[in-house]
Amino acid sequence: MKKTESQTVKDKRLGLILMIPIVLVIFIIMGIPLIRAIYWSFTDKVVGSDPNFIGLKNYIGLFQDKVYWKSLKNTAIYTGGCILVKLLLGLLWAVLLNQDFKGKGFFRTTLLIPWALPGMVVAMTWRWMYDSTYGIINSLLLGSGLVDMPVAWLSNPKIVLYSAMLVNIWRGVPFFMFSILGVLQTLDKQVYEAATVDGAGIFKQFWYITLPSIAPVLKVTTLLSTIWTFNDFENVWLVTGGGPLYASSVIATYTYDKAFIQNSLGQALSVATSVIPILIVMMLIFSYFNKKEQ
Amino acid sequence: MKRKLLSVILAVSMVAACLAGCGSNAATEGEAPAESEAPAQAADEGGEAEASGSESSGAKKLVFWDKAEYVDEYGTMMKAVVDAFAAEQGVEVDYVNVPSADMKQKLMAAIEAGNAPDLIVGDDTLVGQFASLDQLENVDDIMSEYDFTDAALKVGLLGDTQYMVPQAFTAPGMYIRADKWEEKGLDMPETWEELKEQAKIVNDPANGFYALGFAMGASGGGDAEGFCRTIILDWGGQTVDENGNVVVNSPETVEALAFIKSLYDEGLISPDAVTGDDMWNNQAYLAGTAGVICNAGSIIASMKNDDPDLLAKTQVIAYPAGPKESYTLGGSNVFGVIASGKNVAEAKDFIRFYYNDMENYEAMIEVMGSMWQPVINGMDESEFWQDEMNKPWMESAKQSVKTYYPAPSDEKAMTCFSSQLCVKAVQEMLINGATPEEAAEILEKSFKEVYEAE
Repeated sequence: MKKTESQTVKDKRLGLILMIPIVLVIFIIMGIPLIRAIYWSFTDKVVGSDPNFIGLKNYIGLFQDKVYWKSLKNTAIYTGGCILVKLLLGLLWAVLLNQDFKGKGFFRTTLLIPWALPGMVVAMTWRWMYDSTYGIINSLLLGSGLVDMPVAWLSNPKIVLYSAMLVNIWRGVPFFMFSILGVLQTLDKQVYEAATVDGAGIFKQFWYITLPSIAPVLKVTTLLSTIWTFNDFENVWLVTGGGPLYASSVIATYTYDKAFIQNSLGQALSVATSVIPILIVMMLIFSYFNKKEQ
Repeated sequence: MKRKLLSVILAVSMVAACLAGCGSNAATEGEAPAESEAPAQAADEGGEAEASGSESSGAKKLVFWDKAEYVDEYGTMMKAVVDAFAAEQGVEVDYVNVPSADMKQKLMAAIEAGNAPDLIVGDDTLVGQFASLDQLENVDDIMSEYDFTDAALKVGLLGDTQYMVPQAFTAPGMYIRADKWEEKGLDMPETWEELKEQAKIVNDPANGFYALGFAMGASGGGDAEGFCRTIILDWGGQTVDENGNVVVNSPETVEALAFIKSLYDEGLISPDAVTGDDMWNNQAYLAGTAGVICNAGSIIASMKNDDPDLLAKTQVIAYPAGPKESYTLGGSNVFGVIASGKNVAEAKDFIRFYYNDMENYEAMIEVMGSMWQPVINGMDESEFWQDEMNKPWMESAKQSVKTYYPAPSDEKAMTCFSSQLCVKAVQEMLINGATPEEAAEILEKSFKEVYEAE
């Protein structure tokens, strides 16, 4: 039965009314702290004290702070690099694990382990593995003759960020892999058979059938992982401490450093708030692509 | 429409998550965001001791966060004191053990949430930061009621006011692999320069053994900063003088920085030390990859439990002397009464209750082995402290000076220490190739930023 216009309006109104509690909860849980945090970024707030409005002083100090720019650059490298590698490896592994072969279940379970482990355990384990004295990585490299001297994975400022990235990638690939694998398993094999009959090779099948099919999932997983990676504090802090001398500092660890080591909440929040425009731009880009597809 | 809605929700999540990243453990793939740092969770993470005392409605509830110790017996004894206090005073007590590394973040979060504990025990450098933030109650009254040693009376002073009640000194010692030293026929070092020369003989990085294990990471903690400041003082330099003037940029400091740099340049310390925190030196020593570390007594407890063989090979010696001076920068455990707590009077009463039973206090100190030294006059005469094994620790405690000596006890001194300014200057030399002269200039600038700030 076709709905009348007034019925449609009523339905919409009911929908809006039903959304009010959710909107209120989101506003209380996220909106108020967000607004307060943004306000505090314009104050000289320290723990336990009343904030005093100081205008743009925190931001001016921030933009003159070399460590801030270094942290921002590191965040971009960390996020971009990790997402790209996780996406490519996750896609590759998902396609491989979607094939029929003996021991498929074993590999699927094994590859899930990095994702299932607590972040603290992962970080501590990698710290030990990276150690230049007793770490297994250097031991293997030295044993195989690939290097003459132990590699200073955590103390060489030129490579320390990449050491942290490797841990994030190791832990994050399964998320991409299983998300993509879930979609691959729903694809109709007859489509591939038909493509084969039509003469499409394996790469053409991937490009014209697989990739369009998994594109929506790729977008969502990439978006979620980008948010998590951009805000990744735990991994960087536990593996490198943001050091040495801020060489692996990212926005999340620099915010922590300002808040909990330098005891300056106002400045810490200005660091965090300063990246909101970047995040909004990222969101708009994602929204644009979504809209275009629609 | 659905996608638009999803985008909006995700945008809000992204922005909020970024801001929340200020204090939380950011989530990684597939993992729910880490628990908030609300005080209630301190109990779960730190190993809560159940609430004691009256459950009757309207009874006062004292919340007490104690620093988790390596020695289990300490927790048991303190819990017994808490229970006795609860029974006698008719108050409920939430006794929570909080790991030292988490104390600061949890306390800051709790204070901001308006849900601070009433009483805390922690390192003086950590608790002192809260004194400098005006978060601790004046405890002049308690300090005048008990016979604290002269050194103990200085521990909690900020200006002319007492803000912390010392619980015990935690004098540091130098842990040395006596077996390695004996193997090379070396005596225990008495000066830093002698230590360096001996380290060159003992050092064997090709086989995974570095003679020295001095961490130099700047991700919090006090070991590295304490080491740098000790060397500066021993070489005759000072960071800030007793009048609060920044005097760090001196020839003595430059020489001290050059000495520290040489230890790393000559490969006597693992290159990983520059990201090493307060756990790193412990781990390196326990793993058998470092021959000498400076530490408080906690590592002895670890060796007793996990590696008695290593303990047998270990000798604890006093800090070596420098060319001009010989300092030991000592710490202590202190009680702090949180000014914004709901039960300030009860918190102070608990401290009094704790010190009223001196026999129990003495037993509690002794159960910590020699890691803790008493803060009450006359206890050093006991059989325990006259024992040759324990005596050096007491001597070390007596000779110790505050970590920011000789600067006046104020918030600026504490800010400079907690910001690890000396460590960062050393890192400038080790990472960015700054000369000792340049590092001293950087150090002067950093100190002046704090001391000359409005």
